[in-house]
This record gives sequence, C-alpha cells and structure tokens, in this order.
Amino acid sequence: MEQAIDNPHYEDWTIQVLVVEDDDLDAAVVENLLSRGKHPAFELTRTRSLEEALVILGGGQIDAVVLDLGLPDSQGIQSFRSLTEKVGDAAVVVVTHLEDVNLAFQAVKEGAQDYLFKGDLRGDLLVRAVAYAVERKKINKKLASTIGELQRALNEVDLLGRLLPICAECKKVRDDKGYWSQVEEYIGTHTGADFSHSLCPDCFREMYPQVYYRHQSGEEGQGDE
Amino acid sequence: MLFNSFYKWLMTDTTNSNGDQGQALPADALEQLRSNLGCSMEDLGGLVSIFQRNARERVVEAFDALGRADLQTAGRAVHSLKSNARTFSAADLASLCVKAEAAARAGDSEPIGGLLEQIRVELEQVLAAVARQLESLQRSAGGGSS
Repeated sequence: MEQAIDNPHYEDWTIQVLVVEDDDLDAAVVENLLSRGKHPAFELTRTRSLEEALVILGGGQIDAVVLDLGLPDSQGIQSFRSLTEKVGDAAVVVVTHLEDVNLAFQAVKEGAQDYLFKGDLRGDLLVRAVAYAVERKKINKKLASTIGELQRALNEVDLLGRLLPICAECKKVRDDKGYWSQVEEYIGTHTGADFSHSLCPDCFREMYPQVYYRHQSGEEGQGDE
Repeated sequence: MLFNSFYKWLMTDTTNSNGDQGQALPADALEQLRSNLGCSMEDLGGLVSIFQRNARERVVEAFDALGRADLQTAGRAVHSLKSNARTFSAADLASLCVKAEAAARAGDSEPIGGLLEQIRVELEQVLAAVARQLESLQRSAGGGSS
C-alpha cells in the first residue's frame, strides 16, 4: 500500500520545501505525502504563519513553498503577494479549498507555479506537482535570462539599423547626445564589439609604397616559380 | 472561558436530535482515505490522532470566540474544521461548518451559536465512527499479517 515515489531521473536531488499551513491535520497530510518522495527526496520545514515563512525565506535555502492561502496573519491572494516579494527563486504551489478556485487561478496568474485542492491531495500528485514546479521555475528563470539577452541584441541591431550621422572627412560618428566619437569607439560602446587594428591593401600602398611594391614583386616572383 | 467550554462539552449529550447514531461518514471513509493518500496504517493512525485533537480544539476555539463576539476567529476555526471534515469525508459536518463560516464572514452572529452546537454533536459522532473504522482496519491488517 505504501508508495515510494522513485524516479531515477531525479536521483541525488533533494528539494527543500517550506510548508506554510496553520492547520495541523492539513500539514500532516502534506508532510506525509512528501515524506515518501525518494527521488527526488524532500526536506521539509513547516511554519504556521506568513510572518514565520517570510523569515525562513529570507535565508534563501528554500526550493519550493507549499502555501495555504488561509493563514492566521494573512488571508487569500494577499498571502501569495506578500510571499512573492521574498520568495526569490523558490517555486510556489498553492494548496486551497475547491470553493477558492478563483483565488488559486489568480495566484497562478501572478506567478504561482501550480495549485492543488486540499480534497484532491493523493498518492504522488503532490510530489510530482512540487518537483515539476521547481523544474518549471528553473526553466522560466533561464527563459527570462535568454529573453533579456535577445532583447539586448535586438536593441543593438535597432541602433545600428538607424541612420548614423558621420563626418565626411574624419569619419567620426555623432551619437544621440550630440557627441562625436571615432567610429570604432561608437560601435564598441553600443554593441560590445572589439576592434583589432590593421591596414587594408590600399592604405598600405599609399603609406608604405616601397614596402608594398617590394612585397608585391616578391609574391609575383614566387608565383612564377 | 476555555475551561467552561470543555466543561460544557463533557456534560452535554452528543446524540443527535433523533436520539440515534446517524451515518456520520461513509462506511469505508478511512479505507478510502488510506487508499487515496497511499499511506501506511501507522500514518493513518497518526492522522486520526491529529484529527481527534485538532477538531475538538477548533470547536472550543469557535465557542470561545463567539463568546467574545470575535466572529473572525470563530470563522477561521470552523474553516479549519471544515477542511478536517472533508479530509475524512464527513460531509454533514463539513456542510454545517460551511454555514457557520458563511455566517461569520457575513458578520451574522445570531445563527452561529446554534450551528456550533450542531457541529459539536455531529463531530462527536464523526469521531466515534472514525475510531470504529480505524479499529476495524487495524484488526483486519493485524489478521492479514499473522
């Protein structure tokens, strides 16, 4: 009868879970279900109030929060909102009553990873919900980071795609604040590109004609052999 | 105040208005709970112990809060009891809690006293049924293993 949640994919993974639940029986049900997780395993901390939860979250060691929305010191969606300010990278799974489904939806809209109804807690449902919530939170974080990088790249493309005022003589570029700078300085500042300086063949010939022509004749001589 | 509530509890008859012991929860409620949670007999016994202690405390808390006209605390107590009742499939008890919670939220103290009295009576029947079912399950488990 007793089930051991055992997924080899999650071997060597221990999830730190904060259970925020003031009712002893509801907390015992949650703890009982999570304590049977093996891979992943769960290390549980329980608090009865939002105030205690915020203190523990301040320590930054929590991977997931199982949150009851009806607490002695906070009720409804406000419990979730207060928590999200300190939750950091932890995933939040809301546990509530069926009649509070609108609250649960609202919490998900505002960033909760999942919600479960107290009457539906069974078998490995909670284990999977918490483990997947932590995975989703990690993916979302990575996604947000990638979107940030793409946005920065798009901004650079947008910048370079615009008409740039450039001096016809010295080739300095004027930026949007009216300052003139060398073209390599401008591009380097706005795109992060690095420049390595060299001489193109035309400039080389103009600046060092003797070296240039000696070099040319040498190459031709080699090519004839 | 707390002592008075316990005293009142102990001194009051807990049979329902018909004088009989009605069906406080389905006959297989505990077996169903164990199956749903996938827990051991030992764990089930632990949950029952918590329920027995927790539920009575919530009723006392609600009576005391009502005595102080603190409907918010009374509402929270029956809200918690409602959740416990649902865990054990005690539908009638949960239904009474829903009514008491709604009255507390609406600030209507008038019906709450009567509802708490019904809750107290119903809870004792639920707890008696839970104890019987647990004993029966433990007997079956013990017989099966010998």
